Amino acid sequence: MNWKYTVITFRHIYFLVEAAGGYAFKAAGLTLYFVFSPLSNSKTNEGICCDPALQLQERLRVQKAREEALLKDVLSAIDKNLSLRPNTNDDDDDDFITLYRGVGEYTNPNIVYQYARSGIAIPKGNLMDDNYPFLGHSNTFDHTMGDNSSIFTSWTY
Amino acid sequence: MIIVVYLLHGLTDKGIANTWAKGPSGTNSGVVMTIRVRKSEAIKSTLQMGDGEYLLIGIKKAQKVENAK
Repeated sequence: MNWKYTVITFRHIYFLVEAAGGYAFKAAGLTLYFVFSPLSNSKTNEGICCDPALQLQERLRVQKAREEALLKDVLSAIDKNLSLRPNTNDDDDDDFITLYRGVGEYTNPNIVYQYARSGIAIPKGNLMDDNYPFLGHSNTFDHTMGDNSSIFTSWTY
Repeated sequence: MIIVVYLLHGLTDKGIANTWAKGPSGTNSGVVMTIRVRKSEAIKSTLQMGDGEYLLIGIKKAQKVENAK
């Protein structure tokens, strides 16, 4: 861990220095304030581009942010679906349709299968991970022709 | 020549979902979700495989989850 310091010579910010955990002392009649703060090695954008460890760290950070955003969407969707949950015993209700969706453990991204086990269907276009880096398309024809990195999930009737 | 036309009937309903779940070999593990949604929420697939395939937009929560058989 490296340290950087900043010299501040303005008396009136003394309290700010102390509040930030710095140290103050007088030398030869001149009041100097040093603010010490940790400085990690090469944590700059330039460093990330060339350092595999930092690249991995950055990817994990982005992935975590995406997963948190996805979890937020999932929770929101669950709330919405619960509020719209129909009466499943009323098979004759013309307003509703029963659909089925099969999800294989080995033919889907792991996160898709894990959510499926909980009954949650996530379009591949919502994942935005390394395999699907962009928000999914909304073309139904392309989806059914095989490009299923879309905002849709497939179900059978 | 006899053309067999009942293929899609055998794969519709829950059967095709089961097939998707178990993979091409039919031996993998998977789950089948069941959901009831408003018809207005379901989009008919443009593949036009009879009544077989529908699309739903966004994240959905199924009411029932079973292991594929």
